[in-house]
Amino acid sequence: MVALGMHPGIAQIAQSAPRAQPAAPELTKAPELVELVEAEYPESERAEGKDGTVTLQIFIDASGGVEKVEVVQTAGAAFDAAAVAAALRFRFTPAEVDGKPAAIPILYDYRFELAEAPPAPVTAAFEGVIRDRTTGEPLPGVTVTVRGEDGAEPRSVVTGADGRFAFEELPPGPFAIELAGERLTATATSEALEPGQRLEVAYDVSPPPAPTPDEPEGDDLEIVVVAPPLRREVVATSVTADEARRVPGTSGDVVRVVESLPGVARSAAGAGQLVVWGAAPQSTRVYVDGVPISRLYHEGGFRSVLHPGLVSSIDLVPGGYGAAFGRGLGGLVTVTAKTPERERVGGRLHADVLDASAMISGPVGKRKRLHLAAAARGSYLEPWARPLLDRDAGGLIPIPRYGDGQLRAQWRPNARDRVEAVALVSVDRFRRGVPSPDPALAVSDARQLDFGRVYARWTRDSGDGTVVTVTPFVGYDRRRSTSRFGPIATSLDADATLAGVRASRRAKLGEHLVLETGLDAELETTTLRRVGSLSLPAREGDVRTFGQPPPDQLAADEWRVTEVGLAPYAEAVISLFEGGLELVPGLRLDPYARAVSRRNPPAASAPAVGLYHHDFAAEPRLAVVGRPHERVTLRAAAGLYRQRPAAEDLSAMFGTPSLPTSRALHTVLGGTVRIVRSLSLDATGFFTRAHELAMRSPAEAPLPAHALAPIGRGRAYGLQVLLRQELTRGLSGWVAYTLMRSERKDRPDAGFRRFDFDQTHVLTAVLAQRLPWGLEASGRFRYATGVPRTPVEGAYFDARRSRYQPVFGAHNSIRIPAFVQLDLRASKRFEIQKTALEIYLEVLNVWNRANAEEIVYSPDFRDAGYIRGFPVLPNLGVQWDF
Amino acid sequence: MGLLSRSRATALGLGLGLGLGLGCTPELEHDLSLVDEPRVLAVQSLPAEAAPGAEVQLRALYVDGDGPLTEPSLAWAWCNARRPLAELGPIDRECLEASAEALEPIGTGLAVAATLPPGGCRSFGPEPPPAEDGQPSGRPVDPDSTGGYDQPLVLQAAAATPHTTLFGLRLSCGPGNATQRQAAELRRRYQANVAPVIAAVEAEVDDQPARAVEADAPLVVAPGASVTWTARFPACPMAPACGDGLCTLDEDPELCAADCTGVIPGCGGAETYLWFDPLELRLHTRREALAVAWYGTAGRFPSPQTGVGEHDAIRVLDNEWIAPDEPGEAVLWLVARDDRGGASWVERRVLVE
Repeated sequence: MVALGMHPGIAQIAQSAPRAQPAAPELTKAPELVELVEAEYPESERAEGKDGTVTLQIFIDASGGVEKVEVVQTAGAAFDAAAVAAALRFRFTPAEVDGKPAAIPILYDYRFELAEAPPAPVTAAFEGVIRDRTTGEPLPGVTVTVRGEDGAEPRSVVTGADGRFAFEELPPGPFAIELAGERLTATATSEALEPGQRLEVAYDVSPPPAPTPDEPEGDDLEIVVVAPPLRREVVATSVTADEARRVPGTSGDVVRVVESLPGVARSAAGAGQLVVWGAAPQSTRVYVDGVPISRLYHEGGFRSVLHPGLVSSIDLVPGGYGAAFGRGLGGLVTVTAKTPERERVGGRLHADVLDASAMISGPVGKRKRLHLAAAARGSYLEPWARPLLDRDAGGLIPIPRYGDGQLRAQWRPNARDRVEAVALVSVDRFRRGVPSPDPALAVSDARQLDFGRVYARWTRDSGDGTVVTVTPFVGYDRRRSTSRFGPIATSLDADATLAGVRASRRAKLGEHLVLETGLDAELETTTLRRVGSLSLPAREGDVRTFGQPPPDQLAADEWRVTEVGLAPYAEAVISLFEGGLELVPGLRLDPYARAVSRRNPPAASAPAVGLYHHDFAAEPRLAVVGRPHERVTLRAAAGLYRQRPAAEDLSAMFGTPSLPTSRALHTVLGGTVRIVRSLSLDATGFFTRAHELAMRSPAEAPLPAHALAPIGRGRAYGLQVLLRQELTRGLSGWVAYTLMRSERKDRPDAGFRRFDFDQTHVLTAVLAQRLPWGLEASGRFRYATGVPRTPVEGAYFDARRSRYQPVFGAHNSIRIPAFVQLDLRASKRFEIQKTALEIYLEVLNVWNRANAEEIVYSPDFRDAGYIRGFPVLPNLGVQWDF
Repeated sequence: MGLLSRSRATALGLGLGLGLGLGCTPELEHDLSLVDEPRVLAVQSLPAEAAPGAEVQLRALYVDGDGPLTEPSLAWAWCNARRPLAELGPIDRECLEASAEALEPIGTGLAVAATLPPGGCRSFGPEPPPAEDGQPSGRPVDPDSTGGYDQPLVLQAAAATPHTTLFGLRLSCGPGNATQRQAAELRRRYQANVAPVIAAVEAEVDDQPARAVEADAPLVVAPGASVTWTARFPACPMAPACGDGLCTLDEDPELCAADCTGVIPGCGGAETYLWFDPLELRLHTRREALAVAWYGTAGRFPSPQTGVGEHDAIRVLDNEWIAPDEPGEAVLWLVARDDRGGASWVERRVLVE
């Protein structure tokens, strides 16, 4: 028996592009069958000498797995059943829509033959049909051109009356396909042929708008299937959930792959901060389905706040992104979540040493238009780890407690609309304390970090290239933080409620123009209460040592901040030279208003006087993508960005209520060379410049309510290189290297210094290999320059407080030693009936290298040493998919 | 846990989670209770709290491995530079330079008499600094955790390690951000700080009954002996009552006139005092916290500092001391501090034989 080719059935693309703001569902990479399961030849048919072909419709999810299979053309019940059973166990490379993984249905012919296998063929065939997307009618007159990589002359055919075309005796290998017509947008895609393969495809296209009486009739066509790949983010790294899951160090938590992507500095062990292209952690915005969330990781950085079973893909855009997003000076992380569309109820159970989680999903009703999913995760590290520690250590060692959950519902009322309703919640608790015989030396620290979001998402794909998405959301962020250094008690409580909506409409306005317009609106009200020292929590640029008690001058304030941002935007994609050049200009208008409950420091003798502040910014963005060669893509982008001050910085006592927004300019220049079909090399140079950053006032006695001043400047520049092997024959991985310098200027008359998170070299190599018998092995190697620190060059005795105080040298003039670590992961997958059980062992820091994480000093600052990261750390986990 | 391991504890306790605590911290062995080189251990001001322009007597506890230094070259100076808001240390770093213009020399020697600079409450206290260039007045200094403000004082001793010692002399400035009524109430009822006094020192050697140890009578112990030292403080009134010398918030000045008029005497123990809460913006009554730093020229204090918090009722502080293994004489110093900046000390000698 043989299995025949597949035809990407583009008529219904099940998953929109994984950007938070969906693009038109345009196939840019067809799925490849990587695990073919041979069907059992039905004995009844064999006995009768029958053969036949079953045409299947296979629904492939965004990770390449098969969600369901339907028989389109039957060859008899026995053949049908055997073909469906085999196809359910197929595995594909993820299809890509707009360059990003997505679910997709394909047609697949499964042929049962009794004849002997023919001699190995040396050529292949390619055929298919061009159809009217709306009516399903075949379209004649479309010129289909194929260009192989062997330098041979391209070959063209024109579809006949039945809309079909066919090429015989094509050389095997990848080839480009172009569709053209007299008034047709030139479009291109690519396929690959194996020797002897007959690849059959079906390209569904939309007819042109009905001609108006004033317009002459024509044969204008709009190809929506294979439109030029639209990649508005000039530099972005996208990882599918399946690929991310296999990266060591993630423990199956796919979102944690972000820390292994290019442009991301290595965060201190357990910190879980995102430092992208030298931007401050709070400057990188994180979105789930277009909805902003306050944090990507739970406390300690061991887990993300999203259950991996409901994540489709993760995109990291370190800079130069389009007009749809803003309000951040740094990068952008967009997580595309999913509601699994399954034929029956299924789910996943997972457990390792840190936590356990469960996810369940399934359809509702006979027509299965409604799908529900629920997931929950809870840590149990503390209950078993705490008893293992002695009493003192129990006070010293921070053991985070966390949990998260999600509820999702997806409804497809018809082929064009999709509605999702989602609720997600994250909870973190964290407490530790260091007792002392002198209460003045006792230290304690406790944090509570919660957030929740509820959002709906409506997507309409009109079928003519127009996609409308509306995502209203509400949510809350709650933070409680208390620290005590002896008598110096500090606390910061912040309760925020937010609401907003993201809406976009993307439409093709002509042969060469796609226009997206949208609105990004957010309203946030935050009530804050802070008591303590100005210097705790520390700010970037503070000259201090690790664990240094803050000054014992205390202040207090309670204030409320209400902020409104209403940002309409427009972005066009102008495609020229048959897709060889794309211009993507964009403009984001960002009027912003803020009300602060008090502009004057608290005083018993003076009532609070509020402050209203507003400003307006036009943020132009421009990206240019050129394809001088089918294997080469050149990209450039520039844009202005803005970030509103943190509500914590708008205190009249601890900050400055009138702080303006910070601004930044991103410039990006890079290119990609696709060395072979699955291997590409990407290099991107970047330069970012920020100004009006809020810094501590350098004045001895600044004006009241001016503890912070918008006088900081920042710049970051560097080069990132990504060599990426996409999944081929079970092998995938990447080598990411970033050479970077990030600097800050604290005040206008100061020179630039190293940014607190500056890392000159960051190298991450990830390699994963699928092996026979359900085995899988992967490894990750990381090297990162140590972050800067300010040296202590002496000390003096503080007789008032009975402690030594450090005397510092030049600001951020030394570094912590470099970080080097190798992590390995091995897993074994067991197929148990229709379920899969995976057991994995992850070993972090395989060679037990004592990486320095922080500098610590003796109490009199005469000696220094390093706090070391964790030694070799195994983590055994089990996951059951049912 | 004392100074020996304090930095480690702080680092572990306040650092971000390092591999679920599986990370390790270096052992930086420095027994700060052992005096084996010239060091300034404490500075005392009498009175312990004074208004700008007032006369104060200042003295230092300056010792080395043989005991007190009697002819030290200590240089005293007021630091008149206000600490910038971006400076996270307790003093403007300019004042750490011996030749800094911001330093106002006031004398040399173990003890000096000096007059507090007149502008202390403006430079280091709640009074706004002068307006400049038509701008509003600048931000006043925030109070410390006891509601107080300090005049910085720098001692330079070329032979000491480290060379520089900082002290903060508590200023009588009144509260910041309070109403006039609250400020007046605080002035009337506030009891200026009195330096803590160690009224008695007792020692319990190897589970023998505790006995008083006087300054002129060394304690004799065997090598390696374990000695539990106890420092006793005077009892100070805790519950407000007429005649206790405290003019607390719940006392009627008319009914307890003796408590609320004239000079309030103060107490050498944990004193009760009024405090202006910067968050609630009202007056509260609270007590001092006390601590004793333990030093010796020989032997070892596993916990170099012990203390009681403001909510503790006890008025004794004890500590274990391990006698050296070699015979000889050890000099011990017990430095008492309250959290309002008052300090005093006592010296005891131990013969190890």
